[in-house]
Amino acid sequence: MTLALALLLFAAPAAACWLLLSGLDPLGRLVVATAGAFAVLAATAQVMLMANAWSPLHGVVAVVLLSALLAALSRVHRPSRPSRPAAAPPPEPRPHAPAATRHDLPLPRARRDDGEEEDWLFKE
Amino acid sequence: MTVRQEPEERARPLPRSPEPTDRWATLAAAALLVFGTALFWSPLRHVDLDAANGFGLISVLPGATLVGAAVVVLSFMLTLALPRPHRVLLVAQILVLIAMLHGVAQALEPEARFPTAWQTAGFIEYIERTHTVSWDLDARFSTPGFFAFVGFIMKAVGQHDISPVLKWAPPVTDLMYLVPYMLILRVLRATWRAKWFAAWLFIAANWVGQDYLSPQAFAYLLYLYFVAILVNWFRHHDETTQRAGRRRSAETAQRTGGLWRLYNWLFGPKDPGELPAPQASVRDRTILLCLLFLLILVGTAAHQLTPFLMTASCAGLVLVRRCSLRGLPFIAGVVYAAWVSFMTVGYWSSRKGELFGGLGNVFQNVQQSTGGRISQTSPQTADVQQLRIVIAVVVVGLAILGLLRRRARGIDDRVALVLLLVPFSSFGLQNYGGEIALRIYFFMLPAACLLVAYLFFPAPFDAPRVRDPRVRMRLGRLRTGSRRHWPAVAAASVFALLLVGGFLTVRYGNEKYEQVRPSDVRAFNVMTQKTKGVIGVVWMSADNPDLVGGTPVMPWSYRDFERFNYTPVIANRGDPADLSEIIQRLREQGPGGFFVTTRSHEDFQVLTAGLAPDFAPRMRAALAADPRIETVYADRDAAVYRLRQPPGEPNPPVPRPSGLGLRSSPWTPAGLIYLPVLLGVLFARELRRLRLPPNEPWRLRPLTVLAVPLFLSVVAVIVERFVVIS
Repeated sequence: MTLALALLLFAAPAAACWLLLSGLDPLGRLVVATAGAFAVLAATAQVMLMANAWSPLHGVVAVVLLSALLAALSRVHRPSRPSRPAAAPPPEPRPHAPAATRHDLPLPRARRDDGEEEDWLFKE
Repeated sequence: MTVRQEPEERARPLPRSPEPTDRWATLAAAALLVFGTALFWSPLRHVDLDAANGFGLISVLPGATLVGAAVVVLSFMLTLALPRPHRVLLVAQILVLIAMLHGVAQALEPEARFPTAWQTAGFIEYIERTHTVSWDLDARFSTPGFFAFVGFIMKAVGQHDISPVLKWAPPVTDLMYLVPYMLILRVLRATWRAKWFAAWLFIAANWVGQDYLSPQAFAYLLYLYFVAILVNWFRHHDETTQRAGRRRSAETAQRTGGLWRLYNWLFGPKDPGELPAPQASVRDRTILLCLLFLLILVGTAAHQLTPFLMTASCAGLVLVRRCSLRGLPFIAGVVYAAWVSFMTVGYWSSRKGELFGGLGNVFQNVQQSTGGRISQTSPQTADVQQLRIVIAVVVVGLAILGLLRRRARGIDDRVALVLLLVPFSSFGLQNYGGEIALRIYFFMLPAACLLVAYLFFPAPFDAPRVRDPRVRMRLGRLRTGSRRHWPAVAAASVFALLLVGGFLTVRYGNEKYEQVRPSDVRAFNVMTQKTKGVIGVVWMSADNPDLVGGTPVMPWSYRDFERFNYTPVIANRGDPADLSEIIQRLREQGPGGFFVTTRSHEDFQVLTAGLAPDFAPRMRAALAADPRIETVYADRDAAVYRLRQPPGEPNPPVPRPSGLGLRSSPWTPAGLIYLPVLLGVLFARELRRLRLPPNEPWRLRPLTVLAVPLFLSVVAVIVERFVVIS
C-alpha cells in the first residue's frame, strides 16, 4: 500500500516530464522522466526545509500542482510542433551511413574512397 | 586495415529464423539461471551467521550457494555467447545478480546492516521531528537535501518505520543506477555483448558498499543521470577525429619507425567511440537543460563531494569536445562554491586551517586511504582489506588495457576516458576520513566497467559471420562462424567468476561487526526510554579513538540524534575487570550516563585493534558483578549499564535545533542579490547557445560581458565571507 502510494507520488512529476518531452525517443524519454521525478521531489523537500516551511502535506500539494503546471505547459506548446522545421524533416538519406549505427557521421575518408576522384586510376 | 564501419550488408534486416542450436542454447541458459538461483537461495535457511570468522559472510555461506552463484554467472556468459541478444533473459540475469550479490546479507539478517546506515536514519528522523536541521550537531546537516527528500517521501506516504527502507535500499539503489547507465551505454559504439557485460560488471564490481540509504548513494544516482543526459543530447556538434588522410602526403608517408607506430597507436587517426547523438529539438534540449540545472542544485544540496565531480566531468567532456554546453561547468562551479560559502559556514568557519592543511596534501591522502586503512588488524581482516585493493587495482588496470585495445582498433573512447580520469581530481580536495580512494573507485566504475568490457569485446559492431574461405587461420573453428565469440566469452567468464567470488568476500568481509542485531537497536531504545534528558554514552575502545578516528560500531543516534553524546573509554588491555575508568566517565555524564557494548562492537575491537577475544566477556562479567553498577539491559548481543546512584550534575539541557547556520557578513546581502542574477545570466547564456548556429559563438558576447562583473562580485563576496566570518 505504502509502496503504491510512493510510486504514485513519483509518477506525477515523471508523467509531467514525459508529456513535456514529446520529441525524444521512448527510452530516453522514460529515463529522463524518472530523473525529473527525483529532481522535483528532492527540490521540493529541500525548499521546504530551507524556507522553514516543513509540511509534507503542502509538499505533496506543491508537487501535484507543479506537475499539473508542467503538463499544461506541454499542452500549450503542442500547436507549435508542426511548425518546427528543424527536427521535422527526416535527415536526408546518406548512402554511406549504415542504418544500424543510426545516422552515422559521414566519414570523409569513406566518401573519398568511393568518389570518382580515384576512379580514373583503375580505368586502364 | 581495421574495419571501423559496419558494412552495408549488415544493415538489412536478416529474415533468417533462429537456428535450432541457438534456441537450445537459450533454453539452456534460462534453465541454468533458474537452477543457479535455486541453488543459491535454498541452502541459506540454515546459515548460522554467528559462526562467521574474520572473513565475514563468505566463511559461513554453504558450498551449494557459492556453486549457485557460479552457475548464475555462467548462465549470463552463455547468453553472451549466443549469436544475438536475448533481452528478456539478459534483464532477468542482471536482476537475479542484483538480488544475489546485494541482497544476500539483507535476506539473512533481521535488521539493516551497517551502523553508518542507521545514522542516516537518525538525520531523517531529526528532520521529520523538528522540521529543521541543526548545523552544529553534524557536518552532514550542512547538505541535508537527501535527508529532507527521504523524510518528505516517508511522511507523504505514511511510512513511519524506516527500517524496511533502510534494509532494502542497497539492491533498489543498484537497480536504479542501471537506468541512467543504460542511457550512457546506448550512445557508445560497441557490440551488444560489450554493453550488456558492462552493465553486468557495474553490479558485480560495485563492492564499495556506498549504495546504502545515504546522501552519497542518492547523489551518485543524480551524477549518473547528469552524465547520461549530457552524453545523449548535448554532444559537441563537430566530433572531429584525426583524419587518416594525412598519411598519404609525401611528408608523412615516411613515418614508419617504431616510435611513429607507437605515436599512431596512441594519437593517430581514430574514430569516435560514441555513436552520433540522438536527435532532439531545441525545445526538448531547453527542457533538458533546465533539468540538468535542477540536478546540479539538488545534487549540491544533497552531498558535498558529488557536485564537484559533476562539475569536473562536465568540464572534462567539454575539453575533449564531447559536450557542447561550455558554460555548464561554470554554472555548476558557481552553485557549488556558493553552497559551500553560504550553507556550510558551520563546517568551515571553525576549521579553516584544517581545510587548507588537507587541500593539496595528496600524498598523505593517498597513503591514508590505501595503506593507512590497514591498521593493527587480525590477519583475516587484513586479507580482506588486501583483496579489496587487489580487486580495485585489477579492475582499473584491465580498464586501461581495454582502453588501449580499443585505441589499437582505431577507436577513440573519449567519454569513457574522461569519466575514468575525472574522479582522480578529487584526491587533492579533501581527505574524507581516509576513504577518498573508495569514493574514487566508486566514481570510476561506470567508465571502468565499460572499458573492462571493451577489453573482452572491443569490436565497434558485430563483424560479419563469413570470412574468405581461402584464408586459412590457426584455430579457425574458434575464430570464424558463430563460434567466434567463444574465446572472448570464455576469458570474460573466468574474470566474471573471480570477480563474483571476490565480491562475496570483500563486500561482506566485515560482516562479523558490520551487522546490526535487533538487540543493538533495543539497547538504544532502552536508553531513550530510561531518561528524559541528554544521554551520555560511554563506549569502550581498544585504541585511542582520537588517533585512529574510531566511532562506536553500533546503530548509534538512529533516533533522538541531539540527545546523544559519546565518550570513549580506552580499554585497559591488561585487566578487563578494571572498571575505574568506566565508572569515572559515567560519573562525568551525570544522570544520563550509560555504558553500552554490543557484540558487533566487541568483534570490531578484536578484529581491527587486536583486543583479546576474552576481554569483552570478562569485562561484562565484572560490570554485572560490581555493586556500584546496575544492569539496564543485557543479552548475548548487547548490554547497557549505568551507575546505581548517578550524580545529579552535570545535567545539560537537550540542544535545541539551531537551523541552517547561515551567518551574515557586511557584503552578504549584496551577494544574495548578485548570485541569482549571475546564475540567471549564465543560464540564459546556455539557452541562447542552444539556439545559435554552432559557428557563431560570438553572438554570446553580450551575455558574457554581463556575466563577468557579476561573477567577479560573487567571487569577492565569497572571499569576503571566508575572511570575515570565523
